[in-house]
Amino acid sequence: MGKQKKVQENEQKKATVKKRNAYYDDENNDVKFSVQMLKKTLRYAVPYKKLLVVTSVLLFLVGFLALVPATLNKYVVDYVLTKAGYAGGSWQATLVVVLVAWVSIVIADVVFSFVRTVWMSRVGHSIVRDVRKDTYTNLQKLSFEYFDTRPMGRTLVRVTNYLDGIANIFSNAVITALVDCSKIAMLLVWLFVVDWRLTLVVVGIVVPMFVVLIFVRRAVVRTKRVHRNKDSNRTSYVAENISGAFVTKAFNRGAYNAGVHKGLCLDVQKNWMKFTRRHELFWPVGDGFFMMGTILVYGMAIAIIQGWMGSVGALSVGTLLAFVSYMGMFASPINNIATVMQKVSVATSNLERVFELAESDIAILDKEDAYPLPTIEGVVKFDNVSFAYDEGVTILDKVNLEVPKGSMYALVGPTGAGKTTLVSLISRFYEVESGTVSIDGHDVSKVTQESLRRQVGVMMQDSFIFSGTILENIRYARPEATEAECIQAAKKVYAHDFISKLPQGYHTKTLEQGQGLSTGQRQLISFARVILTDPKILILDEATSSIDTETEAKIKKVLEEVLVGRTSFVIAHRLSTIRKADKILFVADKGICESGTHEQLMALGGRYHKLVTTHG
Amino acid sequence: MRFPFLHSGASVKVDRGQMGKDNQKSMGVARQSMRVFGRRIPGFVVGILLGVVVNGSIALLPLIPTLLIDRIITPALGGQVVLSDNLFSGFLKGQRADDYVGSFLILAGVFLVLMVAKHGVSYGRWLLLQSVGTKGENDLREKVFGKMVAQNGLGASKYTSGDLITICTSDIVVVKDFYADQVVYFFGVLTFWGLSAYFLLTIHWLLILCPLVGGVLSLVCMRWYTKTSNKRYAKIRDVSGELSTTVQENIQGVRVVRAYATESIEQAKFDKQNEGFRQAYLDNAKTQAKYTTIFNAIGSAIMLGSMGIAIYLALESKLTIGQFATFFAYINLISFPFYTLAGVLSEYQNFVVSGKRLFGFLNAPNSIQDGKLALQKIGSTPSIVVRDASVSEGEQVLLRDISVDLPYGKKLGIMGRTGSGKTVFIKALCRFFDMGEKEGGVILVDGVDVRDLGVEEVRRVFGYVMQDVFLFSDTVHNNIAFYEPGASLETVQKVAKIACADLFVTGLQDGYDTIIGEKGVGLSGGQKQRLSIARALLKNAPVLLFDDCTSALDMETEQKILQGIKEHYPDRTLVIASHRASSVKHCDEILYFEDGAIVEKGSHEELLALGGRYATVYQAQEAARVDCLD
Repeated sequence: MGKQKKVQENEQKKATVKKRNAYYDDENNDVKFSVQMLKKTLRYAVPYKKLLVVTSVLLFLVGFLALVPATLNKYVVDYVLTKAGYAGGSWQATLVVVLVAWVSIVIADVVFSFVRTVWMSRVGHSIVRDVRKDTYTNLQKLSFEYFDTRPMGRTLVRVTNYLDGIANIFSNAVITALVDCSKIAMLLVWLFVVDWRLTLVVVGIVVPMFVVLIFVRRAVVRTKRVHRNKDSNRTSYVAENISGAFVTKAFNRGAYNAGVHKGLCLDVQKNWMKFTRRHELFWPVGDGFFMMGTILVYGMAIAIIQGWMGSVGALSVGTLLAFVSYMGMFASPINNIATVMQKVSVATSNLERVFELAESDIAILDKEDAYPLPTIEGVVKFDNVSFAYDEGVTILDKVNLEVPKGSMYALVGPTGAGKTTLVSLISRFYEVESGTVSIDGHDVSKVTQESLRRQVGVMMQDSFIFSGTILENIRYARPEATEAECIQAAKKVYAHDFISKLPQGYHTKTLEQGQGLSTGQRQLISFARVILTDPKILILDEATSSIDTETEAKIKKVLEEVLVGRTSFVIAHRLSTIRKADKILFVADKGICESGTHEQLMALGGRYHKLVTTHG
Repeated sequence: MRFPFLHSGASVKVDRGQMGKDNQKSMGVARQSMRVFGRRIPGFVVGILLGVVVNGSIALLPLIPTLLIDRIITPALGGQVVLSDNLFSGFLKGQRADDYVGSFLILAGVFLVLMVAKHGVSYGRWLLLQSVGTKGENDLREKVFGKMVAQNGLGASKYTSGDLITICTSDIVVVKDFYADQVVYFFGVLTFWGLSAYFLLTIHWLLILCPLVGGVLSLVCMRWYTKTSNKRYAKIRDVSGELSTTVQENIQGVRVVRAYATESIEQAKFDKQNEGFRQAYLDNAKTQAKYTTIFNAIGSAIMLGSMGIAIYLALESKLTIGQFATFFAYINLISFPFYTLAGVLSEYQNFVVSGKRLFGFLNAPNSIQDGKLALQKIGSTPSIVVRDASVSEGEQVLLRDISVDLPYGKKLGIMGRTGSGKTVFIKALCRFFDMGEKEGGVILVDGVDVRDLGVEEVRRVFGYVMQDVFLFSDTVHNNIAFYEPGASLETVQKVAKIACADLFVTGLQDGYDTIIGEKGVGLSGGQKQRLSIARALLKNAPVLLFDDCTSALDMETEQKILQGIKEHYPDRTLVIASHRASSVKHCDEILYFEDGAIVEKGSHEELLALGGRYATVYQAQEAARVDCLD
């Protein structure tokens, strides 16, 4: 009982905490489908307008051809079956003409359809490719915060699954619907020519039908959006459980998580049914109106025959049959339009998401007049730099620092004091709140990010390994590097030993997220990766924390060689690594509170002294 | 009259007799999915039967216009009354032949009632099917998810997370849609075909000739189509998997990508795959278009041929004009499914591919199983004995003949170079690896082989802090209370304090209610490690396993945490793997691993006296420290 209550309270808490996006938070989507969004979508179609125009013309032709057979029927019924013959010709001649016309129409229809389908899918998939590309391009520019504040699964599906469904919309649905609209117009004109009285009945049916369908569509879009949100929650929960399966198993949490998952599934299902109840109205509405139309046309025909409409021309059975056939032709375009409306409703909610990603504000932009950072010497200067992740929570307050080229600076201090943040500002991973960070006098916010980061080597706590081979991972940042260069780099950081022991050496496949390699091995590979880029400024952020002492002792020697001529920042917890630094910065209390050489700081007898003496 | 049932996805499932070689495998998928859907089958069958009713009524409706023309319009225009009887002519019994308006009103009434009933049933049927379908889908999801997080589920290496995501996001839906849409549609088509054929036969047997010939022709084409489209789909799967992996790694490795400014390289890689993706879809579209054309042609040929026959029959006065009109409606009903054949077949292919992967995953054998003593509990003071334990994966030997005693309360330290087998040893203790037949060796808990025990029971004993920290995107509170969801703030805070996490957590914007990202991004490495330690402590397990989990902590904090653990959990068994001699030197016994084997073993003092690898490492680290103290 008590536990249940606690869980409940917990749930309530969840509801109130919305700072970051966990799996149980519905996403707020700022972008709503609008005319503007439609324009945006259409912009992607512009490069393919030629193909689009040609296919549309083809579609018109096909649509037009489809109108003919019903008239041919009329001739069959009125002139062939009655053996009357048309316009004085024999009924046999009429039959031959009708059949020839019919066969040619069928052939033309089959050929046109083929060409149309192929071209349309080309347009559709090309557009999807373009949207996907733009989305991905924007993804490359988003800040860490974007990724830190939402589960990976949410972002992933926007670039992959969400777009898959949209291809069909572009390639078929929308254009078909447009053409169907005009087909309806054509049909109306045609019907009007055949018999204007009956046509009035049709118009009386089609107009209210559209009005009703539009209302249904609105309800569908609304419920679909909710469903999509719930679905996204479930996906991100599943994705996270896939990545964290090991933890779940070690903590025997499988059953509990399965319970959470089930709850999410039920939520999705509930909303899916809500959506279905509205969605499934399309067909009954469309078809119902159509059927009523058919019966009314017969009624009208009888009224005409009875002479209730005044004596306004006769009506042949053939005409009536042709007319009903034409009415049948309304069914297909109307049905298509209803289907397209459904699909568009679904796609819209996906597209909203995709566009949201494609247009997410980029936190760190190159300035308009940004220039490439010239080859640097490596003088780093912090001038009154303040920084806060969230407004009000200051991490660094007015930090001043000048690092001469080629010197090694070590950063120590309590965990979470802002060491990583401080060095991240050099690569401009975050935007400073005030003050400037500059390299050789160039403000880092005024140069292009690519030129900056190409010259500042960073090796982080998380040594991410891409799937591929070890070699590919080492030459990740310099794909043009030769194998010999890569091996050279690996040797430098003592990674060569273990790599050459692997079954395929440097060509050993790396699994997702470096599975199969120990943390230390992953760190060595990423160390080789950074050494290969030969940067003037090198930042090592706890880069060697999981490397064994033996290897680290060697690396220490290497560092001494490698760091020569480079400005370096080293964050480490091993005093052996940092005591040779030209200067040690003790980072705490929102800034640098002690700085000097090891000897100076020891003599100072402050926090650094305390840290060193308690060690061991 | 064309029939507007495109909305069910415009597709039919094809007779399974025609699927040739694939038949076998697809039946496997069908059988297996039926097993999962077991209790949903009655609802499903009801849905299908309702569908038959609906489609039957659609097929009956054209009979009414026949009467309208033959009994009303033709005679009203001065022609001969034709007494073409059908199902509905009974309604006109007793009507005066020249009461056209009355007859019309009766027929119109019947028509409208039938239509409303049809849509009512149809709407109910779709709701029922969707409800049954989504419930069945949830059954599947539960099974898949359960397998993913199951104690003895697969090792992660066999299925990449991309595979698993695809199974969860798309395969399950494809299987569900196949049943909820395609199978239902198939029965619908069968109903159409059956009734249409029957009514055509009642008009004249010759009328059925063309549909029969066309049907046989399309069977032949279907076989060709299946073969080609199989290849196309396989290609689409491949490229889509690649694309997905690229995007996923780009997101997960965002820090590396930014740090090396390799956005343009990533973009190029993506662009290539994106283009490949488009190409694969286009190839598939072309194949589909080709076969759609063929099926269309067959459909049209059926129409034309039948048309010719109908005209001939009408000229021979074997058809009334009303029947001629009815014939049109039915021939449309028969040939329409042909136009959708290609689409349906590709849905079917899709189903087979998705189903195979889905059930392949569900049926994949578990290498780690509950043993014969699965119900046996382990006491609160377990003592563990490891004898000649060896573990290998493929060709690679990960552990060789490890023997060590871990009586309750013992503190064991493990040192060794990167990749020397420390983590594998710890994982073997909690049965993430089992000794295989050929490797030999055994791990005993209180004298019982762990392989005989329940997996969950074994893991309950260990409070495991992993080397790689994975945190869930949830609040700090829920992350720490991972083992005991709903644990009170006091409990959480208590362990957080021991893990030296309380201070920084209370400094976060929402304290313990702050939501942290997946992998704990947004926190520093040391902060993540401290949360991970707190999480394991909350489990309150008799054996604590620390796998190099203080590497990102400063020495001050590390010592403080170890001190706190000794204070609060003095009697627990403790296994610490570390690169720092300072972390393990106070342990009762220290193992030094190399290439998966123990090369040195003993207390700190003994190992120092031995003067081997441990001594070297210790002295190197100590020298550094002593250096510092100069």
